[in-house]
Amino acid sequence: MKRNDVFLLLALFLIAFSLRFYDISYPDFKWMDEQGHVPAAMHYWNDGQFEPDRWEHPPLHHIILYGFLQLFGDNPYGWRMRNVLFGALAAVLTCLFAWEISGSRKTALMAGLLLAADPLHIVLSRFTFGEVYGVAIFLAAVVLYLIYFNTVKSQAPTSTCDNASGRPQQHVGNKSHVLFILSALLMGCALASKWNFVPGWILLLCLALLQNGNYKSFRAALFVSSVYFLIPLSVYILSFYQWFGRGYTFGEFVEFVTNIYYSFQLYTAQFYDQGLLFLSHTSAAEWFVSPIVLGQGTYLSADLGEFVLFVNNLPIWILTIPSMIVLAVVAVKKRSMTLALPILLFCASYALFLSIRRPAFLYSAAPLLPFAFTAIAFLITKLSDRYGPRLYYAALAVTLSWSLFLYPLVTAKKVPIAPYRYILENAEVKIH
Amino acid sequence: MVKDKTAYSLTAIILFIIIIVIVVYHGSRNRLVASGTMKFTIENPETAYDIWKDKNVKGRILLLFDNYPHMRGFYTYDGILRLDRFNLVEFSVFQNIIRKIYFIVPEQDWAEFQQQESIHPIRRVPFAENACYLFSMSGIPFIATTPSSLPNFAEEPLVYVNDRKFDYEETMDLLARKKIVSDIIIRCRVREET
Repeated sequence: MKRNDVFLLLALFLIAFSLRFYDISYPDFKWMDEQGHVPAAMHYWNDGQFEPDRWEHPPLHHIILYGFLQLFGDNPYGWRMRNVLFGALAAVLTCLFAWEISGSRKTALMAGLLLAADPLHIVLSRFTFGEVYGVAIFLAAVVLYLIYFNTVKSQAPTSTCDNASGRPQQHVGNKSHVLFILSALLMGCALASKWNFVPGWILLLCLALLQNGNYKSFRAALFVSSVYFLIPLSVYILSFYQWFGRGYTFGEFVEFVTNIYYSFQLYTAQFYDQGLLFLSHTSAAEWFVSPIVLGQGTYLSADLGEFVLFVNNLPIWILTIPSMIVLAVVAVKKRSMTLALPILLFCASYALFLSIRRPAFLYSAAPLLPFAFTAIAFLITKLSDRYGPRLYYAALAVTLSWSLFLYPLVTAKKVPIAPYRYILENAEVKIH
Repeated sequence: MVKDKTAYSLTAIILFIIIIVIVVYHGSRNRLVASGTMKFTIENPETAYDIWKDKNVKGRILLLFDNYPHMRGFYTYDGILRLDRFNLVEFSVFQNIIRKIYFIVPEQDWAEFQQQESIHPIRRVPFAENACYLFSMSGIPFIATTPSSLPNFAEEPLVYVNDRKFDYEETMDLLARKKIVSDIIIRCRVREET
């Protein structure tokens, strides 16, 4: 990576960080799930107890939050800095992911900026929502996985180069296996924060077995499966260390994990507090095709208000499905598994939300966004290759301007009502 | 390359085994049993907590021969959790004295019990005729079962008997028949409000 590229990533991180960090101490009280997440982090670290948070979610988020509470104290910074940092990192990792997939700096930059400025991702990054750090860790695992397999391919004398970047082949020694092991460790951390990443993990494990015919050789298959199956599983089990400290046996751990699976099946819309904001939209099928705007707010005067809104940024998100189709066509034409990866990861995660019985709330869309934005950025870059670079810059300017226009509206800034009247009139907002 | 891959594979397998050994050891270290068998008769349910605390037991299975225990969850408490006559089980769970509950339902009440809307069964217990896991806010393994479906235990559970709900002598006979040995058996004689 050149020095300019490092500056680019650093600049992207700073933009994403600033959008998430600005005025982070407001509100200065625990808002929504923070009321459960913060005490649960203390309870879990001290006693292995999950309450008052839900016990079905794996406990790594408690451990990380406990670390941030120790670092910043029991105040808005301690509660929220974890998500601010991981949210900003997710934008950089989306950029790196798109770069590995496309080999194009322009595609990478656009994908990273789309996530950095996405209103939903920003709002989730400013509170303790579980989707933010999990996505960042999962993305880090995927990026290392991609670098590892692109490196292995470039080393293999008989393989055809699948890396769309067509970069010069590099000689990397056996130490490159460390990348695969690091990816497995991070995958374990992702699994230990949410079960949402299980389909992506299984997918990557299967692809790793298929890569270079690994499944045909006993030693290669053993390497892939032991590293990418057992290491994530080890990390997952280790995250329950405090829980085991309550006296549990390994058999009871299996019993507990099985109970989690069955308990998730009980979660119907009726199971939740009926005042919950997200209950107005419970179907994942809506996320990329129809507008969703919900949240809380206060009218300070007739023409001034303050809102925290969760929105699917439809003018941009609606491009997801067409972009995925275009990317799929290109991947098939080029017979490139690398290009197909965003589609496969998107479909694996999305299929989970489309098929589960429990309500799929809008914030669960966050893990899909890096792959959606990679596909959108790929489409726009391809179109600009055909119709001229101005198209790329115009699209970048329009999408970012729109996202930044929504920024004060969704992040509890005092905003004039007039420019946002249409959105607010069509939103489901609880007014206080 | 091949040797490297084999070494990494073996390392991953050994790491997995070591982690299981570590967590299992950590769990067993935190299961504390009192020596011998002690029987207590109490008049207030919350006294049972004092006995368990005094005998320094920890990380235990509880056989609960009683009415439906209060497991309302942390959200229902305003501020610090305090022991009262209605939350013995839940309080003891939060203090890590109890890690798993077998809630005994009389055979004749089982059918009616399953019809109750408030119990939220999660799933059936495999290989047991009348037993199911119940939902609780703490996530503790919480099994409702009948006396005949009580399993054999590899360890000594704590026993709590409300003798207004279960005949104490019959309960002791049941434990003897099932070869269940307990270090602390508590008989609560007071009429409990529900």
